[in-house]
Amino acid sequence: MNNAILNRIRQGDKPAFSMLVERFQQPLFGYLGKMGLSQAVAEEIAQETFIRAWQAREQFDPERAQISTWLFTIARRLAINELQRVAHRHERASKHDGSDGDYPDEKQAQPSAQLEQSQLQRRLYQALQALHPDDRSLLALAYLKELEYSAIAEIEAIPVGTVKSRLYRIRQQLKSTLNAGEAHE
Amino acid sequence: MYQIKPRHPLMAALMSTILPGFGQLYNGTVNRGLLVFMAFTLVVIPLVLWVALYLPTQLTLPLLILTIIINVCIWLYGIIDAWKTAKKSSHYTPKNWQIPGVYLMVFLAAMLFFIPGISQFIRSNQVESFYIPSASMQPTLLKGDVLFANKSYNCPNCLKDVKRGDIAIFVYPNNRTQNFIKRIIALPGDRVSIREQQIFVNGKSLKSGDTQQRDNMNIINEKTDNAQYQVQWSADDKAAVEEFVVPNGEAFVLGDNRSNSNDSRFFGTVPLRDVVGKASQIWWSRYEGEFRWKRFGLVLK
Amino acid sequence: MNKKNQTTITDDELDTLLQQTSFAQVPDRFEQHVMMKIDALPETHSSQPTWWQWLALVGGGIPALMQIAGLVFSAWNIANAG
Repeated sequence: MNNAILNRIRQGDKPAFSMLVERFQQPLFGYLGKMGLSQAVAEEIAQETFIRAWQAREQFDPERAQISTWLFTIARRLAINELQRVAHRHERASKHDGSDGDYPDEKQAQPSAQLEQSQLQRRLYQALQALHPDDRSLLALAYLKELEYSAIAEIEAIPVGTVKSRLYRIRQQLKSTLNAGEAHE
Repeated sequence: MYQIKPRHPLMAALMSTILPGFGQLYNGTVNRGLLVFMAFTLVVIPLVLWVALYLPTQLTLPLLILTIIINVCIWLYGIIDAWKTAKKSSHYTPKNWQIPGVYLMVFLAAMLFFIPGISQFIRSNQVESFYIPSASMQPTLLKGDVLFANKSYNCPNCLKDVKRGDIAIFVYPNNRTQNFIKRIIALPGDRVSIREQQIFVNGKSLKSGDTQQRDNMNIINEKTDNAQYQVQWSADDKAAVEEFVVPNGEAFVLGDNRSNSNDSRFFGTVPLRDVVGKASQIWWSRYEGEFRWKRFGLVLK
Repeated sequence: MNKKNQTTITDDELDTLLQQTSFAQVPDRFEQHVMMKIDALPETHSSQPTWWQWLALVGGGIPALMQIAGLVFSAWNIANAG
């Protein structure tokens, strides 16, 4: 996003802002999906993220921050709030049946390779639910092409060095959850 | 969804400048605002003074200077905290109560009640400062001295009761808009007489030691219950007072500058309920342009 | 069904899986929806404090500072004692 567009956004240019939405909607949904949020909730939060970004457009300073960092900071706060809100209502027990979010509808009959793939994806989705919200967020941000590790560190408010080590630990945790899950089938 | 109205750092900082804790109210951090306000008003001076009044008198001046430093620090902390918090609040949503009327009410309550109330409390019940415009208490107090008086004196549940020898602040019986400062010589029921530049209380002379002579004056040491001090008489002052009994509820007071003092010899005994403070420590001394540095911090006995 | 060779997932496989999977999709016309919502927003209040707020601050501030100073120096405030 070049500075010309960002400055027009700050001045209240809506068409310029819609370009921002188009640019970032895909990565944003990617992030929210990996946070383990359902489609419906992801849509709500994505919408809210852009609305709040619009409302706070005057506070964004292109000199001091990247638009992507700023946008994902907003999204992260909303997503984590939502996860915490849900966690307070559900008991811990619901973690394993994946009821924190409806898994996206499975496609109809598929060739068996793809069927395995989507079963794996379902298990991945459930394994994500077992992660702490902060860890989910870090993982989800890491898989965005848009963000460097330094930007991720800023969004998560942790040192850059910690990003890599935590990511490693999170992936290991995911891996062992996935591998353990296999035994139950 | 509620309206986003980010907090303006300068507004927050200025609000905390004019009233500690006010900027925190604006930022929505009410608890911190209350903490800052209470620390600034109730904790620093009143609490420190309660402690100071129990401690030796020499510590009154340094402790009071300390309260100024602490107050300034709390005030600055409030301003900086208000600024920093406001700066970080780009997505702030004002709470329901954050309307001009509430700010006005809080401001007025603080300015019309709390702050003047606490100031008044401190002066009436703890410590008040007095300026000495006359020479009537020489050589103990000089013109241009400014001193702290302990106001926790001669009142129910107060720290100190009236003793003979105290340098006391009292309301001038002949003009109740004026405060006077003299030494308490005798209390209700005491028999008092003055003869040959000596004071007799209940038959005993207060004089101790020899008379010194200086210029045209006699310098005499006197000693009472728990005070020792010097007084001065003109060499040729022969005025005497016949023995009388101090009435109930009254005190007999004299200025240390015996020949040059408007005191109980002239305006009679002073009702004890008008005795409001006990002079404790000089914190300033300047006369005709000259600072008398030795007297800064001088403890009065 | 027991596929032995897929019992465990490796780091690389997990990495690929995470990269390729997207759990939430961008709905049709999402961008139009967002812009419609934004158009429907009520007028935002100016984020700057108004002139009368500054005036009140300054007007109330001067006596306020005097009161504050009065409190800090309450014990130092000099009365006369003849």
